[in-house]
Amino acid sequence: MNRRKFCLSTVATTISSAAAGLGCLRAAAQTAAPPAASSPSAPLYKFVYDRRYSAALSFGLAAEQARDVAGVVAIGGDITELWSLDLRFQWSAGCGAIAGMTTARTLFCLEQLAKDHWMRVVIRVEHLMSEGYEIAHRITASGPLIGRMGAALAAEDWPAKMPAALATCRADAAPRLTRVIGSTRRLAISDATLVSFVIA
Amino acid sequence: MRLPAGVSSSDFARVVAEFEQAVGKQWVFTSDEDVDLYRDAFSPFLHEPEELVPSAAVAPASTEEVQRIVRVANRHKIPLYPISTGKNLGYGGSAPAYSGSVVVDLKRMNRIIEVNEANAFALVEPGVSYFDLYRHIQERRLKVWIDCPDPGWGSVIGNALDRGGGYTSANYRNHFDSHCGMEIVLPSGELLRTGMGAIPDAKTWQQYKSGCGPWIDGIFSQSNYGIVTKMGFWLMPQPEAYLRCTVSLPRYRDLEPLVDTLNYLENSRITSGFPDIASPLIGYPPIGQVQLWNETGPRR
Repeated sequence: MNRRKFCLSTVATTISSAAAGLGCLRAAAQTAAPPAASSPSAPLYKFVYDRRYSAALSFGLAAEQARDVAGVVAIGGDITELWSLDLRFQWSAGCGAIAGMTTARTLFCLEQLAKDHWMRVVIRVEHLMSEGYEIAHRITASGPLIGRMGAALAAEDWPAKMPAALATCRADAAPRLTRVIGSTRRLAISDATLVSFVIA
Repeated sequence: MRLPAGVSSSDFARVVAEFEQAVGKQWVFTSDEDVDLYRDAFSPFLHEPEELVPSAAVAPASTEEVQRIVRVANRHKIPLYPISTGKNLGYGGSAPAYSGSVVVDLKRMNRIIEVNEANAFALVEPGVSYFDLYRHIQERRLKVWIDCPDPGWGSVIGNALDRGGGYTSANYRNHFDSHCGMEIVLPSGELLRTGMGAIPDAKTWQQYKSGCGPWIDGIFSQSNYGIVTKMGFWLMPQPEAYLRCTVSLPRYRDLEPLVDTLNYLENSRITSGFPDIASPLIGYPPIGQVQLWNETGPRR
């Protein structure tokens, strides 16, 4: 085991307990302005995935099985139609939390558009190809949300586990953290820029 | 909680309380999770000590609320950094120019107050994006065109104040030049209307930018001398037809006479479209190689 693997595996094994401990650290500050989509009880509106990437395709196929979700949308890197014909109306109405696995560029656009409606990325999981083609999942979210990702990301078929794991993630007031979870499953080279997320 | 330079936490707490009175508690943001949304993801100093970060953000819904915010800030000497939507990326973002500033987020002020088809102008608030204005015009089938820059999700006012540009007719693609009339909240909290807007109930605020007296609009562009809360823009009447042309140049040395010709055509108002010069083989030179390009021309 080299130093990198040691660091990654150490983080992976300690993350659950750390996240559980952080669950009680509720920020005293107020949460963001209004959006109903950020409510923990608001159901997820849609899953979005990029059909050009195999991991995202696995994500999309698993998302089709999810309950209580209005739909699953496959894109090819362009969100114009999704946003202008669908999300814009949902978000204007203060609802429409979405989860997905897309490229970082796509998420950047969605995030910018969501900000107009006081929505935000509440969990961001960057699936980074690391040395030797293993994956480092870099998660930025509150501690409790990070804690929900551990089991899914440790699984052999982690892309298929992500929709269910993300479906319960909504904005909370806990401080945001960044953690890295290593995985031994190899990622196709073309999948290197993928990111999973929830916008609420 | 982050603090503006030289302001104690107890003093800043009082300022925040006054901001909350001005706009409502839910529109004042002080938690790291909220304030972090205004950081510049492209900053070379991201997560470094030199990174420019706000101390808080406040989101007014009206000019009157902006005036209240400015008066509070002036009284307590709190630096303000106004943004329209914070998304004219390439011109400016939502991170302040001075760390510790309070961001005044104007995206709740998103009214398209008027689009006048007959006189071809629009009057908008800072939170109106090019997408918004385009949709407004299309949904009403108005026969006017906007001049859209690359960041179509950016604010019309924000882009103009940053002296942004677009791609249509020469009369409209300098967005600050094609504005007509501004409403500005000054640091004192007073309201200033430029051009004909200085005259109460003027009907020609968006038609005659000179107005009476000195023309001072320019000092509010690429500056922080006031918060612009309304701005008028001239729109292009929809042409009956337009023609797009491509000129192919076989030799690099043909570029100079082409540019001379384009200048003549545009200055003579024979054409007014956006000339776009590019090579099908190598595209635009990257900015870092522009100087080399100018000296030696394209690689052969």
